[in-house]
Amino acid sequence: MNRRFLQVVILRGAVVAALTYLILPLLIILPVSLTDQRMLALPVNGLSLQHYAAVIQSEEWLSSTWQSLVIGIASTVLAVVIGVASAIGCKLVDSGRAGLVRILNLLPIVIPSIIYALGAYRFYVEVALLDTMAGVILAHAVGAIPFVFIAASASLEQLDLSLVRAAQSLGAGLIRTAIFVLVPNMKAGIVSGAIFAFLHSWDEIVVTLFISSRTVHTLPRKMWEGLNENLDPVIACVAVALLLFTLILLLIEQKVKRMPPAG
Amino acid sequence: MIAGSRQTRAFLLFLTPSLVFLTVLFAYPVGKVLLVSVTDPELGLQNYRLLIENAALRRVFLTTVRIAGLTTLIAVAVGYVLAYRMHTAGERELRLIIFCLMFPLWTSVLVRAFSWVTLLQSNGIVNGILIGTGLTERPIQLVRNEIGVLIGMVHVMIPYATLPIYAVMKGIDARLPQAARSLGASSLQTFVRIFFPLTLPGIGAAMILVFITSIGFYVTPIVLGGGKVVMIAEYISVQITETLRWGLGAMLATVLLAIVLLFVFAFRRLTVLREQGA
Repeated sequence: MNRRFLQVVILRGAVVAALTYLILPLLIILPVSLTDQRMLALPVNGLSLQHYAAVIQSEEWLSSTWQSLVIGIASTVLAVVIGVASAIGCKLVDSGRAGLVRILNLLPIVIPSIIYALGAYRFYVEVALLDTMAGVILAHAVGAIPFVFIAASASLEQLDLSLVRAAQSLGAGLIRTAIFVLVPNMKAGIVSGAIFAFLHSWDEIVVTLFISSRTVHTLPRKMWEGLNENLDPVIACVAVALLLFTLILLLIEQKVKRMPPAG
Repeated sequence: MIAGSRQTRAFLLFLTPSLVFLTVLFAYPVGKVLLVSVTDPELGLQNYRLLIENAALRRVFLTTVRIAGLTTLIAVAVGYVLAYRMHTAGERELRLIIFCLMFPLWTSVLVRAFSWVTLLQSNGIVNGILIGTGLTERPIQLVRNEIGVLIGMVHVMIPYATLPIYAVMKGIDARLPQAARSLGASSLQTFVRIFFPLTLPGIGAAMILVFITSIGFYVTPIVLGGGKVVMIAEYISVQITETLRWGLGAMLATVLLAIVLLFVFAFRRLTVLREQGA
């Protein structure tokens, strides 16, 4: 009995330690962002919003935020349209013919970003997309497609194809079948996919570093530069903003997942 | 599947957008990088010969494999403990653990690296606590070395390690451990001889997933290694942006890609074997 008790205590202790390790670095940024010091440290004589004020008053940070939002939304729309269409395609077309497209849809998360970053850089020099909003939007959409594809495919997995056959025997074409029969059944998957696609763009740094320079400076890019130049508490404020955004989107995603499909 | 006559139309309608988009914007650019590895500065395999001849390159590879390997071992060990707890926990604790895995998973690696610097730097919070409690007199070097890189990378990789192991544990027939117990095995014996062997496929999948992700890491080693710990992705970017040796950078990218695809292939073999066994 005693040994069993010891086993439980050790397991519990290890779990608590692991969870603390996972969450602590995310939580610690909040007090650091409220520091009254001029360097990255916990508050000493009380909390201060001075660094938040500095962010809000900085035109550079605001324009970075704006760019990140525009790029995030545009690349999400692109990735959702393409990713959902290919999930539907892979459900309808026999796996032999769809196999190649399926693999292609997953490759961007399998292949290390640094390799795609090199390729995108060279390609964008060729087609004059370097350091343009359009170029970054396209590259982020490429990286986001797998997330949409996986989430949309998962929501189609349970779907009975006799629904599709019924719609078709009643005279619905492929597009009408997709819009009125399949998409309503994929709502949860599409919302999850869209959220993950947006988060991908919102956080993307490796490819962005290679294909942008002066004109495009997303929030992570700006943070990266700040990180290499000086460790300013202002970065902690931006990090808190990024974190909150992630948290809100994840909570929405969890809510959507628990909703019954279709409706 | 739908009727044969509509297959082609469905393919054209739903699959060509992603086929065209990803071929032009992804496969073609990546393919060009592979090509450059044998054409720059001149046609031939001279870039690949550097792998054997150049000691600095070998060191970068060694560092990369060592850090990715250690990250894999630690992350999978921690992931196993978490997955086991998830498997046995009640609904509320399960949701808490999932939240603690998903929140970091979807948080920018840049933000996480930044906050580790805040915690670990020599005048940072961890050293403050260590000195404050008298555990050490001078600050311990926790960043700009391999320890810092490992702390940051394991943190990123734990969710990747936990989820595949948990998925396998969930699929285990609960009657097997019960049968072992009723036949007189102790709880430890049941775990070691029945439960653990059944989770081996999950451990294998987790190790491969974590390893192939770890060897391509860019942000975390740069921020926490501070130039002292150079992994292959950073080395590649230096070749491109600073020394402008495209051939060398592309060759390293190709080797990295080959290693990743090799492991993905092994992983697929592993899952196929598992499905056949079940």
